[in-house]
Amino acid sequence: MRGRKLEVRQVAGVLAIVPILLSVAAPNAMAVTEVRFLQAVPGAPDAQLELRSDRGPAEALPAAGFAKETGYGEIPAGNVTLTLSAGDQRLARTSERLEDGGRYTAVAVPGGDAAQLRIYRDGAARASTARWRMVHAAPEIDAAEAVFDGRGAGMLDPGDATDYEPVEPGPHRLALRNPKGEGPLVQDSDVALVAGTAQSAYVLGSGGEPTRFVVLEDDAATPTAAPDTGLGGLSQQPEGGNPWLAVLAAALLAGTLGGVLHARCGHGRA
Amino acid sequence: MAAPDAPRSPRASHPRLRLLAAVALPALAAALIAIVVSGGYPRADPLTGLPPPAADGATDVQAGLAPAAARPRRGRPAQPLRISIPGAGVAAPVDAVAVRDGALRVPAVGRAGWFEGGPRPGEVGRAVIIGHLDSRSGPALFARVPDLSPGTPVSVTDRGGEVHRYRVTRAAQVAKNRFPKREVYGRADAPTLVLITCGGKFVAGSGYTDNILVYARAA
Repeated sequence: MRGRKLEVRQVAGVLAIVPILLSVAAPNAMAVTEVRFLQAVPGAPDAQLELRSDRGPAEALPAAGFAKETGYGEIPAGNVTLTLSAGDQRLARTSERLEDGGRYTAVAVPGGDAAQLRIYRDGAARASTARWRMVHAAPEIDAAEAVFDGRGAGMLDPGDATDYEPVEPGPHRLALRNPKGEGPLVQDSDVALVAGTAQSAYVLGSGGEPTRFVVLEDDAATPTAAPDTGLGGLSQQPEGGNPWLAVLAAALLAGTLGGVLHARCGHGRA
Repeated sequence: MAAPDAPRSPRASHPRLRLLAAVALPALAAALIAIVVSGGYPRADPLTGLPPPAADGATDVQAGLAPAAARPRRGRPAQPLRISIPGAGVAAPVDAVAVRDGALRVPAVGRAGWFEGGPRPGEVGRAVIIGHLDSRSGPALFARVPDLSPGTPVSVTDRGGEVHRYRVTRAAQVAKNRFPKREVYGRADAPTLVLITCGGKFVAGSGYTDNILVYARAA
């Protein structure tokens, strides 16, 4: 009976501690998501993207001009409102559910009154492999075919993206061509697809700007920890010299003294 | 007084040899003891603080090899074989190293390690090569890497015999607990080499507090 009471108390104690531990751990385990901004509205002024999550404070990314991208900003995952503005003028707004651990690129393209935002989830890198995709972000160009090293890689309507494809790292030829036409709408013969990365080739342009590819790194395969390349031998050395030199010098001195004494003793006996 | 041609005992007949033996033997014994205690092989030259030359007979990566630019490029460069940084006394083999338990495996003291999950030297992107700052007893392969200044040449020979030449552009010291992964690994506009070793303060039990990053760009 007494043992049973003790067990009940122990269980109750554990149950009481669990919420306390969870409340301590919760702030450290906050779900976050990362977003960057690519400005793909030809002729538009520099624009700034503000990210506001329903679970935390807002984050404003730096302003970016046409064909420029920002770095990733970090905000709490959840329902996020993305607002694009240039100075006091709001250009576009959209809401999206952004997942914990996800990385996204918000692309401003021509549309609506001034611009519209499209959100693409960025893929993960794999070690030793180059992964790539093409994103059609030039709405003035109709549906076209993505071409990789001379072969078709899928039809793209404006706003579409191909799936990520693993390829041999190195320089490659990318193009977007009209399936009915002869020549490519845009091409780049020397796009470096890098080992251990995932990359997106965005097709931007028209509206007075030449059509082009903007290739961005979406992710890189990286160790999570910093390399440990020191064992402390330098820090244990006394200032001003190598200890082995001292050991050798002492041994030589001892040997010399011993030798001299030995020789003298020998002479004495002789 | 003994006559000049009187017969001598064997011991008395070589006094200089006896003296030499008395001096040299203790010194030799002390040196052997020092080597054994230090781990069996001298990891660093006691005079220069640098690691010994490679045992495979290769004296330098440039020997007898044409520069990369002189050859037509076919596909990817081969995996790296050796690294040479004359300005830091580095001439060593390079091992491919992978990630284990989230961390980059470190090469043996006296060897460099190339992150095999990323670009190879000679490719566009950041090829990462790491090396030890020190061993348990003294300086190691990358001991002088933190002192490299902009313009210093670095070359990496790959397994196909191609030499990829770089020049140091900048260096940075970063805290290990805020390691800037995105500035170290991944894409770059040109072939780039990132050399990494340890730096900062050594804390017993946890190691060095910082990393030294040295960036070099294709020459």
